[in-house]
Order: sequence, then structure tokens, then C-alpha cells
Amino acid sequence: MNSIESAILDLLEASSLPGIYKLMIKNLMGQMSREQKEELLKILFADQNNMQEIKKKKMAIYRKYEPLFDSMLEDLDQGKDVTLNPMILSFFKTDQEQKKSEKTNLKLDALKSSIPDITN
Amino acid sequence: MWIIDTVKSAAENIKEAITSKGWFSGLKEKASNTLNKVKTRAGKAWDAVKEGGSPWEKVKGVFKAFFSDVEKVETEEEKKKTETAKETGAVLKNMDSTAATGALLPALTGKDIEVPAVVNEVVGVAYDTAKTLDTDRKNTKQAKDGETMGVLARIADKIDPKKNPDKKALSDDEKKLAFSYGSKFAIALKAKYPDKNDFKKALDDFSKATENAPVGFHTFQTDTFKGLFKGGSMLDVFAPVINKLGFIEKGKILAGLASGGFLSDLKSGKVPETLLEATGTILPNTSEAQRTDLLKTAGQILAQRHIGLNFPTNEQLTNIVFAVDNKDLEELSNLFA
Repeated sequence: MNSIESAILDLLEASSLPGIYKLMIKNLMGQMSREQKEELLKILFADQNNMQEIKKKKMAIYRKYEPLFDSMLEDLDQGKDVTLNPMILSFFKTDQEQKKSEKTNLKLDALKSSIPDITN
Repeated sequence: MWIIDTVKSAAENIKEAITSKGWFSGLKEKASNTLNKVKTRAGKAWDAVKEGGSPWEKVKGVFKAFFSDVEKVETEEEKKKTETAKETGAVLKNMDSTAATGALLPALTGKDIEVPAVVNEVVGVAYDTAKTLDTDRKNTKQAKDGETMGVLARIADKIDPKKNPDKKALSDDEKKLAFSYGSKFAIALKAKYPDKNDFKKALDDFSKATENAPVGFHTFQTDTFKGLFKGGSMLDVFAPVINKLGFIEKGKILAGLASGGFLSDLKSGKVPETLLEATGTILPNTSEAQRTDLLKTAGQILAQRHIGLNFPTNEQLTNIVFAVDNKDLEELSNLFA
């Protein structure tokens, strides 16, 4: 087995490729041309990057909401008023500030693209 | 060699990303549980939340923001996976059919089981049908070379309960493609087993041969499979077919469906005249007698749900496939493609 084949097999199992393709690649590697193998390796690398990006975004959601839900559940278990939970109030403050800044950035981007000479 | 080290580190990263599915599903479950508890606590006040009014507004806002963030990232994930499958489809499209079928067989038979001829034949027909549909859609410029096979491979993953533990539905485009593929597959399998009894026997033998395999006929008889067609807009999905009907005919069909009249008639073995006429417009090459058989079989399938039979039997599937004329199946496939 050459280095490209071994690289493909290392990446394949954990990739997001459909099961049918994993089976085909595993069992038909010997019949593939070098170009096909190189192309597959490129796809698998790009897939790895894509899945890493998705994971980062999911982690960000996890970090943002998990403590909130825990705190709400604690309030509910202890019979406290959930509507007064300080984490919810601060969540909205941060969320609103974030949305405001995103809106401003969008406006700035639109302005920049409407004036091609401005690069920064 | 650098490539080996890079790949090993990449593979570790992906493994980590894949196992991360567990914690993310766990978070969604926690959100749903918390939401249920909050709703119970809030009681009627929860439904009465209006902009700027209720103290529950912010709590509701948290869940709204959470589910919106989740939907956004999952849509992006889905899109990227489909793109990857399409690109892979383009690379693997020209693999020899016999070799490709052979490569798929181990998944359809258990260990130490000799692959029965029927499994080889059915999988061969399934693979060749995918290739044909891919070529057709490429020729009509609906997709690039190999892309259709990539999407079909993704659909196959969603059918498998182990690969789709969240029971995610197909997108509307995937539903259309699944119907298009199904019609073409029916024609191809009918060509392989032109005698109705042989066709039914092939289905029976295929179910038997794959019953202990990781995937097989049983994979189509799960809640995961049923769930694939939930959500979205079925009216949109079926629009190409419904649009064949005239304005008045369409109105009558929608009214009959909305009132439940068609369903109760079909379940009791009656064939509503309006439906029989409409199927004549949709399936112009299928005789009235065959359309009557088709609707009666559909009625049986609907009725048997009450006794816990949630899926068509092999005999019913055979009746459906043989009731519809091949020209109409081809037309249906083209309409959905």
C-alpha cells in the first residue's frame, strides 16, 4: 500500500462521507487511478477542515447555552422564579450588544463594497 | 513522511469531531427537557407571551435563540456533507458497476453468509439505476456528473437508523430525488423480474437474505425511514404531479384530502370516483382497471395501520409496481427529477 492509499484509509473512517462511498473506496482502492486517489485525498482533507469548523461552531453554542440551561434547571428544582434568573438577563444584554455590533459591521461592509477604492 | 503525520493528526481531529455529535445531541435533549419543565411551570402564561408584555418573554427568547442557532449550524453541516458527497460522487462515478456492486455486498449480508444471487442482482439493479439517473440529470443539466449519485448516497445514509439516530427528515429536494429514483428503480427491477410472481419472490428472498445484515430490506421498515418524509412541504414536493391536474380537479382532490373523505373510503375498500379520474390524468398510460387495483392496494396499506402493520407487504409492493405502466413510472421519475 502506498502513502496516498494509507492516507486515504486513515482519513476515511472518521470522515463525513456516506457509508456507501466508504465501502466502495475501501474495497476498490486497488482499481483506482492515481488521479482519482489524489482527488479523494483532497476531498477528505477539505472534509476534515469543514467538520472542524462545524465542531467549533457547535462548541460555541454549547458554551453559550449549557450553563444557562443548568441554571434554569437549578431554579426550577429549587422552586425559584426562573424569569428573574440573572444569567437570562445578562444573556439578553450580551445578545443584543452582539446583534448591534453585527448590524454595524454589515453596514460597514456594505459601505466598503460600495466604494471600491477603500480597502481598510 | 509528512503526509502520514498530517493525515494521522487530521484523522484524530475528525474522530473527535464525529464523537462530538454525542455531546451536541445531549445539549439539544437538555434544552428540550428544560423547555418542557419551564412550560409546565409557566402554565397558561407561556402561551400568552407577547412582545414586551410578559415576564416569560426573555425565557422564551432564550429557547428561540438556541433553536435558531442549532438550526443554522446543522443546516451548514448538512450542506457541507452534501457537497462532499457530490464531489466524491464525481470521482467514483466511473467505477465498474460489477466491482462497485461487489464492494457494497458485505454490508447487505451477515458474516459467514454466502451472498445469495438475489442480493447481488437487486444491488446491481439499484447501483445501475443510480448511474442512469445521474446520467439523465447530467444530460438535462439538472446536476453535474456524479452529483446525483452523491446525493443518493447521502439519502442512503439517512435511511440507516444507525447513521441517522436523530431521525432527520430528507430535504424537499432529497424527497423529490428519492421519488424519482424509486420510480426508475421500479422499472429496472421489473425488467429484471418481468413475471409478477418472480418479482414478489425476489423481494421475499431479498428480505430473508438480508434480515440479519447491518442493512437490508428491514432498513426500509423502521421509524427512521418513515420519518424521512415528515416535515417540509409535501405539497411542494408533489407539485410537479399535482400540477398535471386541472384547476377544478385539483380543487376536488384537495377538498377530498382535507375532509378525510378519500382516506375513509380507501380504508374501507371503496375507490372514490374523483381519485380514479385524477389518477387517470396523472397516469395516462395506466388502464382504469390497473388504477383501481393501485388505489385498492393503497387503501389496504392505509387500513392495516390500525392493526399495527405500518409497512406495505411484499405482495402490496409488487401490486403497486405492476399496476402502474412503465411509461407512467418513467414520466413520474422525470417529473420528480
